[in-house]
Amino acid sequence: MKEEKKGVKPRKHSSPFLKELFTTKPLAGIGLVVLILMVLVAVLADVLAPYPMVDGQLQVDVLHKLAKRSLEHPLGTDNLGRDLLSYLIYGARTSVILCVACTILSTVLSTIIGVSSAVLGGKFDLLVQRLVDAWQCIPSMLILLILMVLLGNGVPQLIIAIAVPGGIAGSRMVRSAAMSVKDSGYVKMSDMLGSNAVWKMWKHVIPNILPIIIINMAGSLGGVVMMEASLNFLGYGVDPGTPSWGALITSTGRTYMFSYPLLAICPGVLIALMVFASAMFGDGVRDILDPRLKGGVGSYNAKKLRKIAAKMTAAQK
Amino acid sequence: MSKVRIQPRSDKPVTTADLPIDNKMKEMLDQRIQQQEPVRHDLDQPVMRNLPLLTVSGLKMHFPVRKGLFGRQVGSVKAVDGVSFQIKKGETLGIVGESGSGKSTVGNCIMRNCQPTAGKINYNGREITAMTKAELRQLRQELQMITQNPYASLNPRMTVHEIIMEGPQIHHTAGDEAQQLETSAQMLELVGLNPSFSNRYPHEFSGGQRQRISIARALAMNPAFIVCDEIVSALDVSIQAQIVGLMMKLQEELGLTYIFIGHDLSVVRHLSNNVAVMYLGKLMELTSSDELYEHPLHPYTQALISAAPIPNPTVDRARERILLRGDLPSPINPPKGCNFCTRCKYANQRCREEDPPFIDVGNNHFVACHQVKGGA
Amino acid sequence: MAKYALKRVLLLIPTLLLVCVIVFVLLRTVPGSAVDYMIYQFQTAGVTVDQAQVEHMLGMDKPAVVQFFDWFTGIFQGDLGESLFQAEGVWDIISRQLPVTLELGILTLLFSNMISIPLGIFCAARQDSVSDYLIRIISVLLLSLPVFWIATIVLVYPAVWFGYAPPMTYVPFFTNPAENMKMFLVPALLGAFTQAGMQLRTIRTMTLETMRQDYIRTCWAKGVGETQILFIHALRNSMIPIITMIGGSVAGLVGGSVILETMFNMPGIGAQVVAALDMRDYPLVQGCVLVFSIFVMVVNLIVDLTYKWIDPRVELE
Repeated sequence: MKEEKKGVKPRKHSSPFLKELFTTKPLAGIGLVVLILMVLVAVLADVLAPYPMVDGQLQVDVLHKLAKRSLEHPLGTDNLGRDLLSYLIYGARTSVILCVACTILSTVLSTIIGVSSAVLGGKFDLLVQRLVDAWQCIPSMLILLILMVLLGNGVPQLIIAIAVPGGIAGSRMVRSAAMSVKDSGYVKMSDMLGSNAVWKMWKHVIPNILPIIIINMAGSLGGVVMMEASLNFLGYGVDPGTPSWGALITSTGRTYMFSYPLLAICPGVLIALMVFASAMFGDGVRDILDPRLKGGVGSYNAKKLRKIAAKMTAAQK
Repeated sequence: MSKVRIQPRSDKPVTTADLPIDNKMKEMLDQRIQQQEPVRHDLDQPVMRNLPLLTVSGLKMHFPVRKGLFGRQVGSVKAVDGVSFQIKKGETLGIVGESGSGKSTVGNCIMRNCQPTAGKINYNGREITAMTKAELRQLRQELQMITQNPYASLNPRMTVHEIIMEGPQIHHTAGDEAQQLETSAQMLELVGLNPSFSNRYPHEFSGGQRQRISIARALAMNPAFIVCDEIVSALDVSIQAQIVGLMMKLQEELGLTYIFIGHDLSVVRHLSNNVAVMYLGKLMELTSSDELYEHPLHPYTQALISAAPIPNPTVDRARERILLRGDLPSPINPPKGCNFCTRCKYANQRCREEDPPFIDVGNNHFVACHQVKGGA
Repeated sequence: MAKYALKRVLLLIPTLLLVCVIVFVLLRTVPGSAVDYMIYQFQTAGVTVDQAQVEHMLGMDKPAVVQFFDWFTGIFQGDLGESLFQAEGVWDIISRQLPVTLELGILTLLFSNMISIPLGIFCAARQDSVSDYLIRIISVLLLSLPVFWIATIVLVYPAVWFGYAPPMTYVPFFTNPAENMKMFLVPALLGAFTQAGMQLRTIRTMTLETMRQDYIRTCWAKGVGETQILFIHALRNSMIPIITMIGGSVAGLVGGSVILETMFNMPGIGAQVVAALDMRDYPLVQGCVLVFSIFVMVVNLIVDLTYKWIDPRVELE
């Protein structure tokens, strides 16, 4: 008896999430595969690129600027003679770094703001919510632009400028989810066991709103790439030396649109691919995790009903 | 009627030999005593039955009603309006009343889930209403609450083990992992569940089992006093009996003191030494449970008892029913005079003007009614 | 209803105050180099100024609180200060450019709703059919393509092939509708495609969620026709989240208008704010951001009032 008791180990959640994603949401699965490939390319950029970076810079070769496609340069070169394929590969690294960093930072921020506002409640909640309301009234693009002017160009600056407004905007959703958990019986019971706010947030509220947090996270992936590209278009973004798809389109790509269309098309397609993959993945994650879309008897439509009716008449005969 | 009464315990050294429990339980308790762990629930002390453990006096809880653009207070909901009672160690006080009578609010005030508007709550010589947050957290170790809905009160993302050990972990009294596993297994056994359930999640259990887990969670804190807020109301009748039996068994073994809040008269009678009847935030009647059921004095109590079903259909059909007409008046605007006067068939002019005092009419039988003999 | 509206309007005042504080604080924290930048700007214009003069011009020699209240009280008198580089009041500039931005925004919203609402409902009614998948993929593709990238292509290639170029001077709609549309149609459609991609998915999800409700199942069971179920029962009940989404997208539209106006050289506030930020013309930036924020606030107010009108259950928080 005793032995048996000791043998009992706390069980961990093992969810068949990935399996469900691939089987029921094939598009989301493809999105995930694309994202993983992007991450791999980003990590292995130094190995994959035909002309790796030296001292954090792509090699400039003015003699071979704007070269056509050849064996040495599979996609040609840009106006500074940098190998386009290498540029794109390193651009993936910039995009992935931005995506990951912004998503994590904004998720942490939105969770901290949303959960603490919900759990602490009272005047604190009121103040925070008023501030968030006001912040939401200022169009995010303008805040981004102002922040970029404040912080200057560069990857870390971009991360902060994109993640902070994103986190503040996302805190709304987290708060409303946390509010419903906070009012649940088990949080009240935890209160009666003598827990403090931190315990309640960490042990009860956050584990129970995790699906919402993950949905938020997956949904915000694509926006980051898009925002970076838009900022580049408006003249703010990465340092000139950092390879970035957005920067490539807006500077060189637009200038040489006719003579070297690849310079504009390649980064555009890659941005679209990444945003598309993120959106598909985000949608799939939401469909699987969102409890509102689950359960019930499912929805009908006229076609479905006709099929059911046909089946029933066939069975009667 | 197999009503279990708690026997006063003597000053003898602690043994489990004379406890009316099965052998497995005895072994377990013996082991704990030998291990010199903090012994559960005052088994080593004589129970001083004559000293009240909890004294509530003049308790009032008014919730403000706000309205308009600037949240002006336009009135208050008098959920509890002047309630006083005492509970002795090892006893159970039942509180009955309709929904909206304020009985749950009394429990919440004792737990200080809400800060009472007025009145005093004295627990074992300490004033609960004046406690700081830190003191209150400490008090949670002795004072526990079990609530009505076993479906909402368990975190769906925690295992049973984590749920039970939450309290000790909060107070850093849980010990290392092996000790924790053992404690949670013991708690499960104590409430009649298989210890191997400890790594399951709440959704795998039925309502009754969940309520047992809630009880185990409260017991893991090693409390002396438990507020049971309608703990069986959400359960099937057969399960209710099991849970009530469990609560009585635990009281006997662990020397617990209960407040048992409910609206089912027969359940409350079964468990309680004393029963208080609440109506619209006030106590109507308070006496020992047998006295209350056999000689109800207040018209409201009489009506309540007459409405409770009797298992024997012949008796049930033959007796006179007192039907209450009308609804519970709004607690924002209770009637002048006696709270019950709008629905009382004996009510006269005096009842409508003068609030009846809550007094002892003899034999420790407290009533608030102008019509009761000796209530003048 | 009147009381509800009154309370909502009164609540705008603290929000406006907070918006002003946020905008002010953001722009006040601009590093000292901004002043240097302005000195440099003046120097290139052939004017020699020293730091104290620039600070005086910006009003930065007064304490921050005084500056804020000067600005804030000015707002209610229709005085947003003077532009630093254009010899005009900020309010004059904005009021001249506001119609362009408003027209672009309204057209974009109009087009995007015309596309997304019918298609979204169609997708929900034919969930998981081939057309549902196709429409969704196209919508995400539209969402994934950076606006400025398509805009570049739309601007450049037709110009070469057909000699098309959008007019560069703004003609008010009521003076010459045809000429006006020539300028607005292309950017508004481009903005609308992106916007519609976003809206369509939300409308589909919301309608699907409604279609799962028990009362819809009852409708099917009692033999109500599909059209009636969709447009009478489902649409009305999924209208609230759809309106919320449309209201919420207005802040995002501003971001789009910033890019589109810059791209198509339209004399609107969006392009103005980018130019002003570039010049570090802070009074003008403050004014533009404020006007945008007030616009968003007004839209939110309208959305809130519409709730009350559509759904009798909505209560004052």
